[in-house]
Amino acid sequence: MAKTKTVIGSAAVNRKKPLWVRAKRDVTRNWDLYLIILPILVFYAIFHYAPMYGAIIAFENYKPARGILGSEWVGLENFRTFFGTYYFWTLLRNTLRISFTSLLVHFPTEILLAILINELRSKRFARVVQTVTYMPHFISLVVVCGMVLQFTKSNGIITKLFGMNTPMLNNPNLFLPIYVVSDVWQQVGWGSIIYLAALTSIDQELYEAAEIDGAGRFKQTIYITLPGILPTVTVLFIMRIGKVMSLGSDKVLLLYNEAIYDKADVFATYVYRRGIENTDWSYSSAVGLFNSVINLALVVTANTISRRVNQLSIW
Amino acid sequence: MKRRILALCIALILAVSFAAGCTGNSNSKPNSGTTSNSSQSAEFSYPIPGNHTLTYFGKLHKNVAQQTSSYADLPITKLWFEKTGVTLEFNTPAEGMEKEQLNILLAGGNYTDIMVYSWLSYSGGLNKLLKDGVIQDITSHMGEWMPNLSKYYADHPDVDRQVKDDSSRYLCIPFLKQGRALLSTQGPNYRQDLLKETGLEPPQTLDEWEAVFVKIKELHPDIAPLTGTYNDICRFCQPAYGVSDTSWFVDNTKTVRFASLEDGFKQFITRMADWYSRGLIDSNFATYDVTTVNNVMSSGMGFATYGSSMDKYNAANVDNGDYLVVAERTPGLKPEERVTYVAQYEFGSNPFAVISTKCTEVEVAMRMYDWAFSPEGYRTLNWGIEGESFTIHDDGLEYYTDLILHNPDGLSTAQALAWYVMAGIKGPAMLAQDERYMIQYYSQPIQVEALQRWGDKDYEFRGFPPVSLTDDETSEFVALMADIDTYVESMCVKFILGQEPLSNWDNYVQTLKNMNIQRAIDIQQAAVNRYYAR
Repeated sequence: MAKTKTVIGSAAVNRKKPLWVRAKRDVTRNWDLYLIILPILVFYAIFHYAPMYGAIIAFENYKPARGILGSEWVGLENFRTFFGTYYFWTLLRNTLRISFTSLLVHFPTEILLAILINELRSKRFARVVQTVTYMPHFISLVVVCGMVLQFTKSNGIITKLFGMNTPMLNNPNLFLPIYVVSDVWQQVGWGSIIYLAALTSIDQELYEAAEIDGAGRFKQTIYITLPGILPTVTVLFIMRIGKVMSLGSDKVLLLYNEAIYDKADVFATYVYRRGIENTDWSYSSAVGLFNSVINLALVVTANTISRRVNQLSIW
Repeated sequence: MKRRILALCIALILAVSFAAGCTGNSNSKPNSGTTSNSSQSAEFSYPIPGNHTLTYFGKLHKNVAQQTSSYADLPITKLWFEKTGVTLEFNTPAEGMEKEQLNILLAGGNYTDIMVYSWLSYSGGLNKLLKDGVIQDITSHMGEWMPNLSKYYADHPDVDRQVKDDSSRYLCIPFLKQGRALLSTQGPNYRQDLLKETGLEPPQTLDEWEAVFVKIKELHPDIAPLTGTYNDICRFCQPAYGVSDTSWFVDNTKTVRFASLEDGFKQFITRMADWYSRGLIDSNFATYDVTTVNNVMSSGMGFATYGSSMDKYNAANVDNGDYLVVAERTPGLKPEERVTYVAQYEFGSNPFAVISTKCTEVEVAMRMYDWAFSPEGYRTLNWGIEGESFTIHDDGLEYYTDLILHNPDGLSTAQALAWYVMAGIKGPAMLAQDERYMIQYYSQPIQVEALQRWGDKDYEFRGFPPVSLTDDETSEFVALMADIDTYVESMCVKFILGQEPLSNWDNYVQTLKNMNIQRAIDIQQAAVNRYYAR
């Protein structure tokens, strides 16, 4: 295991014939599989690749009436303005802080929950726990944030629980914990499903062998369960890293207020305010593009590190 | 004989070009057939001949949305269509969604012929829209196709100044308020039943309000004495310090001031911070929006707030003992003092219409909207259908019937009005509202009282005028103010909450200067100078 390089998703390579001949043969042989993947390719082409054309407006002073080709070209002007803005460093700091904290808390809890559910003897009870924990995922975010606001206002139940008498969301330092904890509460069950699936694929004989060797529950988890789901964990982790900068605006928008902009305002909310509220399309696109570039860089870095250290990577 | 043939030929040419103008295909752009149009206008009469359909974008007023899904279902809209001979195809997002929907519409480039929105709040305003190629300049056709509105402008030069832009162009069709009762539709309001418990008189000054708040706090620790959003609190208390109730105002020497830099504003913030620390302001105010404020007031958890929703609060508490919210004047520092720089203008606070570049039948659109400013249109859109929604009394004035005021089907006055009168739902036609509409609509004594009390302010020095910025000024101003507004709001909320000590005020002012607030002031000053030069 340690020395073989595992590349997930790559097919065996046949170097004898030219690519198109091999591709053609592969398509005729596996036409049904290609048919299945076709809608997804079309989806990506239409909704993810075609709109990239629109990213051009980040370099323009875009006016809808004049269209993408007719608008004035301003080069890097929008980027320059953005890097010079009063809030640039605040936004960067907040985005990274909220994103990474969220990642560091969220990611292990999902795995932990999956392992705990997996360890349960009673399958019926395990199923109940699983259902109960993933239910909040289906509550609309607006409702969840409404609940959070109610619970944390000056006489809200959670505020009282902590013995406070001012709204928790007036305190800039409490935004991050509230954001992360409510996020974990809502998403942890849903996120653990994929790990539960991975756990079922671990060979049961390994556990029996370990038991004979005298390994307890804890040791079995450390030496069998975790290595068993490591490929899944790695892939998901790399993909999560790629979303760090594009931290969702919805939830922050619904929770923040003027008193805590310092700690809560992130790129996505800034883009929302400038783009949708001030109709500054080009500027918002520039910020969005900047985010995407950072995201891409982070994914590539994470993937490379993972390949070097773990011999596990997406590509 | 020759003459008759000539006359016949001219008549024929006229008829042909007339028909061409009415079929409404792409060549009926403003310029085509100007001659025929001008010769027509002498004898033009409604309805406009032919079958015309225009497209319309604008929010669906909530009083309509509660009852039906389209403006087209209203008798008054049908009457308007019938009188003018033009039909509208509606694209009407729900109230509150219009900004997002508009931006999507603009980004997509599929403008409707008529677009109704609060364009003054649209960043860049009408000038930007014109420059971006979204709307049409209708100045050259005003006299010809909008004779009634032109006459209105001639009769009301102050309104004319508000509507036209700095180059004396007309870029929009306005919705106007006619009469002072319409210029003061919101203000402070409070629980009269709780005030009685304190035994104090209705407060007139900030000091008196403070005394009442303290007493309320003693008697009902659970009730927030002053509640509302940050903006509500500003509008309640800020004018007392002579610095308007928003960011900008023009002082009596026609100099532009940024309120949040003024000493008066600092005094206001200091006072609010003091009130907050003593529990006189709702501790949750920073997290509130309009809906939550309404809930707080309706559920009896607040004593006083700012706004126009007192009817809503009272309606929610009909069965709740003495609960009664009434209005009070905007307080000054001294009794009898009238607050300045807050009164509204006739034009600008309501959504108004523009004609987009996608509109091919500009004449039809303009004539349709001009009808509202004719004597017949004015009466119809303000009062509805004679004999049905209004009757004319011996004094020669219009009065709503019981169909509106005491609806037999149990509709509220606002709901009944929505079917017959456009003065209340402020669309889809643009018109000049008759203030008597409001006075009759506010049938209860406390409502009429509210209009008087809220109207008790200075009209000589009003709020910031509806200026227009040039395209370059706009982009610079928007870029500057985007960060400044965020900074001011977050700092002021923090000052009030006590998270930022007031000793940091000088830093705050310095930061604003570093953010180049002076440039923004200069831009506004230039715009104001142009405005007064109109």
